[in-house]
Amino acid sequence: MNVYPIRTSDALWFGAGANVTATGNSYQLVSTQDHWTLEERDIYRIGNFAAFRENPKVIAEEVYLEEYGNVGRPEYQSFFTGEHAYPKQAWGMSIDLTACIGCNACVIACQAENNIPIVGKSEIARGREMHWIRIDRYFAGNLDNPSTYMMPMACMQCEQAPCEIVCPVAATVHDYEGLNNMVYNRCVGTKYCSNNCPYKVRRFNFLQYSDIDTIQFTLMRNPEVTVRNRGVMEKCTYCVQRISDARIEAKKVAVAAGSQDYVIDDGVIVTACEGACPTNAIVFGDINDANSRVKKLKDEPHSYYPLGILNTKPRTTYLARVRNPHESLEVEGEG
Amino acid sequence: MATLTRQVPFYGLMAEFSTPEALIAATKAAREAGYRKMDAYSPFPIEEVIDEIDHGRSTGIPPLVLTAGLIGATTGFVLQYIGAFVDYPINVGGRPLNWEGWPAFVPITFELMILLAAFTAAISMVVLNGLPMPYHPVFNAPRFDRASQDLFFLCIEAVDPLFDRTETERFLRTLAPNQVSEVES
Repeated sequence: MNVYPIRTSDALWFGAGANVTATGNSYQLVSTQDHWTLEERDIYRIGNFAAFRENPKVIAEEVYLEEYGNVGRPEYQSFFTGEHAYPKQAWGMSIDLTACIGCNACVIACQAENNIPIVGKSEIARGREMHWIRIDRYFAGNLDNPSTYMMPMACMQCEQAPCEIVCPVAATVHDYEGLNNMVYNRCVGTKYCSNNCPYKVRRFNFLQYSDIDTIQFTLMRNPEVTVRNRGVMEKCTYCVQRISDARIEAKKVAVAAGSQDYVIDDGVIVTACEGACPTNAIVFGDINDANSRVKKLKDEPHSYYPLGILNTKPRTTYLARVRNPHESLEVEGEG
Repeated sequence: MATLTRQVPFYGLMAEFSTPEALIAATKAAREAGYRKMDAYSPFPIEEVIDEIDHGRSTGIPPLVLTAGLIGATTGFVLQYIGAFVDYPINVGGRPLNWEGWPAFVPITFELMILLAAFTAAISMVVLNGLPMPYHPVFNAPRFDRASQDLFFLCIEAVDPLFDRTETERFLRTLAPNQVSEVES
């Protein structure tokens, strides 16, 4: 919407004498924020700094109490007694909700890195946005002066992924590093995976949103990312192209040294969202490596699984938000 | 006249009754007399008659269905085991790639068991009944078309070990039928 007619150079930030008149016309406003709601499931965890300093496990205990009804994580009763081993690397991510300022830089970085199409207003109005990572916004407390919380949410790369078991064509399966991979060429577009995803992070290419035929546009895109076509599900890959690149480089180093065993150092792989984050809220790495940053963050007492009660074992975990507001700001009460 | 004296191979002797009660009594009497190869025809199913006729006789279908069901279940499980664990193991939703992953195979195993068992039950019913059967000798009996209307028939077949053309006819006549007739084969 063009507001320049009322924004003149003599008063850029202020204006007077404006009137508001009802035209009788309607105008459609669209926003992605209320898409993919989690239906009242508590996914955002908040703790108070004073209580946290006294007992670092206070937030985790609250989560367990709320989700399982007792303090401490219960043993699951599963049909499947065995587990998969990921002997080499196991990629994981930790997102610090205290650090996240909701700037959306990760969304844009992901869009640019992974050639995610822009779908336009009419498609957004139908709930067909394509961006792989989104920023959820939550309100708590008094509605007149609510506390606002931001939460970046991309594919959780669950180890026990609900999306994979419903796919009739095995188009989404795990690899040996525990990544939940989409195999675009197998996908037949049933959208079962998206329906079964508790985090609502899968995106379906309803129309051919990307113009892949115009030759000039090819220069604009990242050549390392697979081209996706209409009728195919897509989602966050943990920037699998960057992981592959780092693995190939590590193998080249290993081969040059006459070794079979390659090592990928912590911090070599930087996902697009991690690289763009101005507050370093997003950390990616190998959770099999005890010295990696992500492993250390996951061992923090206030690290939690989103919707842990579902036993999906997400590879992405969150560090609960720890608030320390000044007393005078707390009059409205925290949610 | 020649036809009366000619020794024709025949199917059996058919007794005709007017009431279901008479047929029930006749069937019981025939069974007590030791006849086994017999059959009754009535416009509607009569439980007592079925009991007497089919007493202890197996259709042969249950063991076939059991066998087919077991084959189906085994096939379903082995098929999935080979596909998912031996030839092309893929990690789907973190399910274990060994015997511990068996619960994932239950639906297909069950479905294949039901499929084979159901097909076997239906097909073996048709085959063991000798269907399709375009010709059957009982229709040679006089007024037999009324077996589906208002008359009740009991036929003692010639293959019965106790069957004797004269003795059996005399026995049937003691049951007060409307008529007793010889059924041409």
